[in-house]
Amino acid sequence: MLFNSFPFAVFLVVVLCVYYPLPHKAQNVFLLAASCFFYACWDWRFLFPLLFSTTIDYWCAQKMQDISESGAPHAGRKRYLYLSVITNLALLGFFKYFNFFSVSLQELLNRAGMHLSPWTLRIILPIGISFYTFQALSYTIDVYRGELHSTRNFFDFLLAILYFPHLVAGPIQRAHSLLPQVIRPRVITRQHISDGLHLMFCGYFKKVFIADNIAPIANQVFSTPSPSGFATLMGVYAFAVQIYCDFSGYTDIARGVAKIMGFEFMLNFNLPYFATNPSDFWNRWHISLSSWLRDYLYIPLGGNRGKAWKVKRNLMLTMIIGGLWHGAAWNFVLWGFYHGALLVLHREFRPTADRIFRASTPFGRRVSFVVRVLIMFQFTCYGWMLFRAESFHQIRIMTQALTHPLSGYDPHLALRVLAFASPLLLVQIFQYVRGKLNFLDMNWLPAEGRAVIYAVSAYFICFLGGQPKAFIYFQF
Amino acid sequence: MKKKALFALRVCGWLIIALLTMEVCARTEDKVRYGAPFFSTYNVDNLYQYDSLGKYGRPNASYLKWRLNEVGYRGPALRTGTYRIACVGASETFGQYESQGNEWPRQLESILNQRAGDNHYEVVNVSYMGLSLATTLKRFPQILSTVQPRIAVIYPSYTPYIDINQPFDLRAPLPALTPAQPAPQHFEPRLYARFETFMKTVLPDAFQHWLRAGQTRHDITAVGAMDTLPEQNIQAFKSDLDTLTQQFLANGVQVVLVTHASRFGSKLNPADAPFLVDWRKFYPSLKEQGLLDMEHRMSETVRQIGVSRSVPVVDAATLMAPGAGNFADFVHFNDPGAHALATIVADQINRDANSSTANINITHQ
Repeated sequence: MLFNSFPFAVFLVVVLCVYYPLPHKAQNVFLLAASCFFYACWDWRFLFPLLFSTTIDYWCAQKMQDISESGAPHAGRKRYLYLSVITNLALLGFFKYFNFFSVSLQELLNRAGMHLSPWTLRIILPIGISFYTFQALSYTIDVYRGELHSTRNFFDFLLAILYFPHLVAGPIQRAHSLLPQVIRPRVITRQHISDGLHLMFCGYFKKVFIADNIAPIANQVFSTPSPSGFATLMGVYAFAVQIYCDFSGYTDIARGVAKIMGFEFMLNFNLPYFATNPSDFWNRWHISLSSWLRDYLYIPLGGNRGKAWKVKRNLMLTMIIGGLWHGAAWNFVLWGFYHGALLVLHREFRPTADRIFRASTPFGRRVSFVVRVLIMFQFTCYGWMLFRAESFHQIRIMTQALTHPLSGYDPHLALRVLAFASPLLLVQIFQYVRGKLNFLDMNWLPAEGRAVIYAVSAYFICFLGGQPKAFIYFQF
Repeated sequence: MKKKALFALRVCGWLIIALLTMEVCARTEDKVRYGAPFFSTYNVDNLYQYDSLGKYGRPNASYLKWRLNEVGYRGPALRTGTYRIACVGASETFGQYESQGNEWPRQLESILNQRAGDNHYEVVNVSYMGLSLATTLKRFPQILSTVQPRIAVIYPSYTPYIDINQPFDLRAPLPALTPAQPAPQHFEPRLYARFETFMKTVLPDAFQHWLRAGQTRHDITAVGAMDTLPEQNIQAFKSDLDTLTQQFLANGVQVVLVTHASRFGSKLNPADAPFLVDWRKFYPSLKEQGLLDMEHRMSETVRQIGVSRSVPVVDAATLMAPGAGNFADFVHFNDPGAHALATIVADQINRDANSSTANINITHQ
C-alpha cells in the first residue's frame, strides 16, 4: 500500500474517521491494528520477524529495567542488551545480507581458484526491516544507558515500532521521542490538521510531480551503456533531484499523516543541497539515520576523541556501515566509503578551505557561500552516481564520461531537468532565505489567494504527475 | 448558527475558486502543449466536420496527440510519386493508445520502406474512430479520388454491426452533399475529462471492472441483452464488406483483408475476463460470450469473402497473440501490438508483390 496509491487514500480516510472519536487507549489499540493491517498488505508473513524481534526487544528492555531498579550489577544488563542487539542484527543480516555475503564469498573463493557453487537462499526482504530494526535498537540501547525507562505496556511499545506512517521508510524515530507520544493522550488541534495536510501536500508534490517526472530522465541515462559526458551529468543531476524529492516527499507525507493524528515526527531533511561541506551535508540529509549512526555507532566507537587516525577510522567505519545499511551491494559500500573519505578529507583540510573561502564583505561572503554550495553539490552528485550505478563497470564508464562534462551537449535534456528541478530550486531558495522550512505558511496571503496556490499545486499533482512508482527507500 | 453558515459559504467560495483555477490550468496546459484554443470547445470532435453523410476528418485538425493532414486523414501530408496503400478501419486503425506515430498504418509504412530500402511506400490511414463499413462505403468516392491507392488494407471493426442489421444499399441515392460544418460548440469543462482519466489511473482495476459491470447491468434493463448476434447482422456485415471489396477491386485497387484481432483470442484467459466485461459496457445489448462468438463468426465471414473474391486474407485474429502484450484494452493495440499487426500485413503485401509478375510501378497513379 504505497502512500501515492488510491488504496492508501481510502485506508487513511477510514483510519481517521475511526481514530478521531475514540478515547486514547482505544485509539492506540486501533492504530496498532491498522498498522498491522497496513504492513500485512505488503505481505502478511513480514509480520512474524517484526513481532519476534519486537517481543525480544521489549522483554530485554524490561529485564534491564528490572535489574537496574533492583540495584543488581551492571553486567547483568549487558547480557540482555547483547541479546537484543544480536537478535536484531541477526534478523537484519539474515534477511538483507545473507545472499550478498554468500555470493561475495563465493566470488572471492573463485578468484582464489577454489570453485564453489553459490549457497544462496530464496529470501524475501521484509519491507522496512532496516528502519524498524534501528528503531527497536535505539530503544534497548537507550534503556541500557539509563536514558529511557522501559514501558510496561507491550502494546504501547509495539505501536511505537509498528506505527504505520514511519514503519516502512522512517523517519527512524527514537523511542524516547515517540514512546511518550504513544503513552500520553494526544491533543489534536485544527492547527495540527492544517499543518499535517500542508506537509502531505508538499510531500505529494515532491514525489508525484517532481520525482516521478524526473525519474525517466535518470533511468534513461543510467540504462545507456555509454552515455556522453553531458548526458551523464544531467542524469546524475536528475537522480539527485529524484532521490531527494522521492525520499523527502515520503518523509513529508509520513510526518503529515502523523501530525493529523497528533504525533510529531522528527525533521529528516533540512535543505541538504544547501550544505557547504560534507559534515554539513550529513547534518541536513536523512537526519534520523545520520544522528542514529552518530549516537549509536560513531560515538561508541570513540567519536572525535582519541588520536587523529582513530577519529578517521571511526568516520570511515560509520559511513561504510551507513552505506551498507542502504542495501546489500558493493556500490552502497563504495558510496559509504566515498562519503567517509569526504568527511575525513574535510576534517583534514578544513582550515585550508576556510582560508580559501574567507570573505570580508557581505557580498563576498554570499559569493563564497554559493561557490561552496555548488562545489559540495557536485561532490554529493558524484556520490549519487555511485549509489545509483548497477556495476563497477558502469561507475568507471560514467566517471570517464564526467571528465568531459560538455561532450554531447544537449540543451533539450538540460531544459527537461531544469523544468522539473526548478520548482524545488525556487522553493528551497525561498526557504533558505526566509530561514523557515514551512514554505506553505502563507498567512500574509488572503484565503482566496491560498486557494489558488493549492489548486495549481493540486493540478500538478493530479494531472501532471509522472508514472506512479514505488518510493526508492522502500527497498532499504 | 449564522457564523457556521457564513463559514460554510466561505468554504464553498474557496472550492469554486480552486475549481476555476484548475480549469484555467487545464486550458493553459492545452494551449501550451497542443496549441489548443483557450476559450472554445476542445475535445475529440475537433478532429471532425460534418456534412449530410455524417462526420469525417477536418483538414489539418488536431486534438491531443492526434493530428490530421491536409486532406483530413491521420498522418503526415500526402506525398507524390509514391506507391499508396490505404488502411480502412475504425478506431483500432486510427490509433487510440499507441504513442504518436506508432499506430499500425504508420508502422506498416516504416516496415515496408525499411524492407524496400527506400521511401516509396506511402500508407494513408483513412479510418476514424467509430467508423463502420457502411460509412466507409458512403465516403468511398471521396477516399478513392483523394488517396488513389494501389492497395487497400481493410481491417474492419465488427462491433458497429451489433446495431446495424441492414446492409448498405449501394443503389439507394445518398442525400445531397451539404457544405462541411464544424462540430457544434458548447461549453465543456476540460477538468472533467482530466478527472475521469485521473480516476482511471488511480482506482484499482478490479474496482473499475466492477463499476463497469454495474453500468452494463443498469443499461441492459432498458435495452435487453442478446446471447448471440443475430445472423441478419452478420449478413449485413458480410454484404458491406463484400461490397467494399468489390468496389476497390472494380477500381483497380488490390485488396488485403485482415480479420479482427482481440485481446481474448480463441480461448478466453481468466486474467482477461474483466476486459471482456469492460468491452461489453460499450455494447450492453450483446452478452460477453456473444461478443466472443461475434468475433469468431465475423472473422470466418472475412475469410469466406477472401476466398470468394480471391483476395488475400491476413488472419490477425489467429496470428496475433492475445493478452496484454499486444492490446491496451479489449481490441485497441499498444505499440508492440500495432507493430505485430503491421508486420504481418507487411509480410502479406511483400508476398503479394513477390508472387505477382506485375512490376510495381512506383509512380503516382
